[in-house]
Amino acid sequence: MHNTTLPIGPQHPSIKEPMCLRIRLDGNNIENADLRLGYVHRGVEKILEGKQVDSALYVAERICGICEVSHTAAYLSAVESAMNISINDKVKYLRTFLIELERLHSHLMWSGFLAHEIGYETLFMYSWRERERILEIFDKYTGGRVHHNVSKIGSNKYDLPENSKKFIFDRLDAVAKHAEKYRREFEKDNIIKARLENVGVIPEKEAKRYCLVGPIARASGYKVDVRKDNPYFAFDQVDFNVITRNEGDAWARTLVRMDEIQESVNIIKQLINNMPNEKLPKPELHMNASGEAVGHVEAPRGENFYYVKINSGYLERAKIRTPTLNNIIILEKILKGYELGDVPVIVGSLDPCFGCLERIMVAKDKKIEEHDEDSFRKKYCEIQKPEVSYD
Amino acid sequence: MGDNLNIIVEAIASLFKKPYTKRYPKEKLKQDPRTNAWLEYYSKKCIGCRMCERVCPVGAVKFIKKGKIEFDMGKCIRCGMCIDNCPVNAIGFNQNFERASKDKKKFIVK
Repeated sequence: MHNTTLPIGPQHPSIKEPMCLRIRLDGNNIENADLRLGYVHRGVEKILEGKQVDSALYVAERICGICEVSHTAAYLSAVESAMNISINDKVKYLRTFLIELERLHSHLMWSGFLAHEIGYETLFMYSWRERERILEIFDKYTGGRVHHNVSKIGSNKYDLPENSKKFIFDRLDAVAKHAEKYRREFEKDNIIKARLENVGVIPEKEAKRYCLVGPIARASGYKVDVRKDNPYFAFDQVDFNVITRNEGDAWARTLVRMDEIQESVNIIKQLINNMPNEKLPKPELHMNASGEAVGHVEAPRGENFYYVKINSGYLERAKIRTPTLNNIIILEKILKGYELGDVPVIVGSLDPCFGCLERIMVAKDKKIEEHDEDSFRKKYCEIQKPEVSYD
Repeated sequence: MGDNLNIIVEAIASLFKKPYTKRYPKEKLKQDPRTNAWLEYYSKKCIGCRMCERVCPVGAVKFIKKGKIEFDMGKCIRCGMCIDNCPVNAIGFNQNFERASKDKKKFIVK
């Protein structure tokens, strides 16, 4: 097994989405890793161009299957500031409520995935049972478990259903109680600790240098959270803590997410208890709006950033930067020195979403080159990467 | 062993509980009134303003003439834009989701 190059992916059981990792091994240790992407490029920015602003909202919502509320919220925050639309407190509270529900659902699903990666199927099933409770709340409020279709520019389609407070609180209490148990499992269980502790360590200095975002940055002691740094919607009206840890390994990333579940439950309870009694404005079409703005929200994986340029009610340009783009760059570096068996845990602990991430744009000598998939691969994917030292 | 006690207790307790999920299709699923499953088109109400065609994000609406519009449910993403923007409420959603078929013609709502 000396100096073997092992391809993992694009289709591999340990990776949830297509990506290719070429790993150079010395015995069982990883000497070098080379990440190749481009297997699920869908051209979402191009699809958005030329769409009417109200209709484009539903395309933005479908960019990701897990953080669809964050995509909608980032798009809405960009579009509303471009068109100078102010929203009332009720709409702000309802949007914040959905964003936090999504964080719960994403973190619970991820903890199940991680348990599955390390072979702990029981914990996987129990995490997903808790996620089911969150999906029931989504279903009750929006009528959809995955795609919700409730947000509108300047408004919201539905108010919370009548007498739903008990329904939501019962489920949130159950989730908080069980998530605490699973957190203790992740914290105390020797087998889990052996798989996660001191694996894929990212020091704080590196986290800042690579501009990491979300729970991955916070697990390295880098306190970055859009909800606190630049509060949007109703986040300035709720009390919550930004969870950070200093270890920077896969174990810390797990515990940060498990602690964020409790924080999200508290935020949702505050939101429902202080829900304003305002009327939802009637949604309308925006056919003549123009403007240019950016919007960013804290998705479950980190900062989700949108830039939009609107011309006469139609999108002229949309630029999307999802959190995985920031976080995946460090993967090649943190894999070095660990064993082959650690690869699923390290990749899984970064929680990548390649469907949202993939973009192709080449700017060279101030000229933008246009490529189809084949010519792009031929020109750029086969070249040898220069050796860069990060130390 | 002591570390895993928590999860073992949880596993034993789960043996005596009902399954959390339902076994479709043996058990029928109860649909929420807000579920967007299938379109309904009331052609008598239609005034032929073509608003549904204009706002559809995926181009699933084909306008033929007033009172005759075809909705391709194979393309539809159930966003409800046509329903929200119809001035005479000639379009609506129902909760009938069991519509899987090999025949493409069954996906056209007229």
